[in-house]
Amino acid sequence: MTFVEVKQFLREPINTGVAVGLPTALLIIFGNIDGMNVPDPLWGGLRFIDYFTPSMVVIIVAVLALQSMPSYIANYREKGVLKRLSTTPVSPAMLITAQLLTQLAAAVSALVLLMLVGTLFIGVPLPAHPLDFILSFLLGLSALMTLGLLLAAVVPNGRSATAASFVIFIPTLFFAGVYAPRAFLPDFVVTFGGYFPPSVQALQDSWTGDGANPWHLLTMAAIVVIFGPITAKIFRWE
Amino acid sequence: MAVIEVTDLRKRYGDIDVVDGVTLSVEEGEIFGILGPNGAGKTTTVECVAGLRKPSGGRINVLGLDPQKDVRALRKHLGMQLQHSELPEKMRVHEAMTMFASFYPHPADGDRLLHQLGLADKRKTPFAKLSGGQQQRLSIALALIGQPKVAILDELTTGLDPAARRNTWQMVEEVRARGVTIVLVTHFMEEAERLCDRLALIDRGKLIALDTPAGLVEKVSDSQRLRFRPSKEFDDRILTDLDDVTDVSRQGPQLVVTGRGNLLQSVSARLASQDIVAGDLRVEQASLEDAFVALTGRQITLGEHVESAS
Repeated sequence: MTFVEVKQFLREPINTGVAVGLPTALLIIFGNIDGMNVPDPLWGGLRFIDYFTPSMVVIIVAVLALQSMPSYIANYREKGVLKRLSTTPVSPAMLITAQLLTQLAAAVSALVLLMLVGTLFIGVPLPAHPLDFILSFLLGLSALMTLGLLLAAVVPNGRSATAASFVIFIPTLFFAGVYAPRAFLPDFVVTFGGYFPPSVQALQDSWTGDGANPWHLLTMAAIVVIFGPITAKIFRWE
Repeated sequence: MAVIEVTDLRKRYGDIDVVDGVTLSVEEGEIFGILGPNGAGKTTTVECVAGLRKPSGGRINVLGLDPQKDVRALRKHLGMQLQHSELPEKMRVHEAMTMFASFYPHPADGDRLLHQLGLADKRKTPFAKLSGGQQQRLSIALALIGQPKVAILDELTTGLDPAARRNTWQMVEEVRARGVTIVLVTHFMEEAERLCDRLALIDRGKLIALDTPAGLVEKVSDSQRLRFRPSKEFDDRILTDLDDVTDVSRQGPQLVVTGRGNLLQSVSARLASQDIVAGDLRVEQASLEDAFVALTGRQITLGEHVESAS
């Protein structure tokens, strides 16, 4: 029955349209910019584009987990949608589950698109350590989603969710080397950035390096385990 | 047979008893009104009945179920329209209907409901593009989609224009004709008078009276009201001194005198003795509104304020 409900929600264009459309548009823009940057050194012997692709993955994850999802959920609460659902046989938790699954699906589609465009047109290799990469991606996404949900739990409405999310969104992109390539950042910033969700370092190590550092992954898991229950505790349906 | 039984319901927020010992029962197939001013505890009462809030004290039985313990079973048979509840902006009418229908084991025919509520041509309209009245009607449709045995409609017609309000009333009567028990929360006298079989008057968390609308009016029917324009200014005490007069108030140039017994004769005699002429004199019969004022000692607020439920 849960599955039927989730499917029902996934069919709703509000969930799918915006969430998938946005990162796709971002990808095309970044893909074009990156087309101008072609080869070599400084980036650990990689092309800049190869070095930079994990940062783009972070953008996908951050936009969905910090910008899209919290404002959806805060909005649902503000508009009384969650309360309205609690008068039906379906729990409002189902709507949140459906929302998370939708975001997950959107993130995976955006990632697949990124990798396809990357390999086919720009020659970005596929991750060298696929299992590590999948794990890094899922854990990183979960960690940011948890923070996104925490955000949704504390803000009063959808608009302030978007505003408040910048507090995490900006450092997320910064540590992921979106603003300035990480090779230009001080070492301690790069090191710390590896532990900042969704851990761009874990993505990069499993993509073009020697595999993800377990400590990075454990940190991501710890964020979920610590902040998950706090969020559940303070979340209000109305 | 009682469908809803509420015994000594209490709900406390901080130091305030928002609901303070309400006892009532709703019979199968009736339209039961809960009437009171804003902030009287009406919404809190029905939200406890629907299991949305946990009462601080008292017992509630709905269709033989405890709203706190058997909440899942209750949800299938109880439809609720909330006072301030919206849908996601871009969700279209038919999508909302399909989605809500999927929540219930035996949903009603959504298209028929939309048709009855005059929303048939709005099926593809997103929620945000509907007018206030249309949103309200959709909200009613969603409350009825699960074929509930009991429907709770909270401030059903607030924000609707008079024509839409009358259509909605007719719709409520049609729903009742299908055997659905309806609990109607309202602060509109006209709505209560027109629709309800029985009415619970709630003020400051307490049940003031419970009767048919006619029965409530009868309780205070010995009260009469005179309305006139006095020919000159005078001290209200001239009239309030009279035994038959209970209240004197001014509405613009008009004076409204409420009282009982031989009100007309005693007031006329007193005015004549003071050389005051009562212009445009009218005698008015008690209405539900008078009953409310008489029973609670205050005017019901007719403004459409936001009721603070929590």
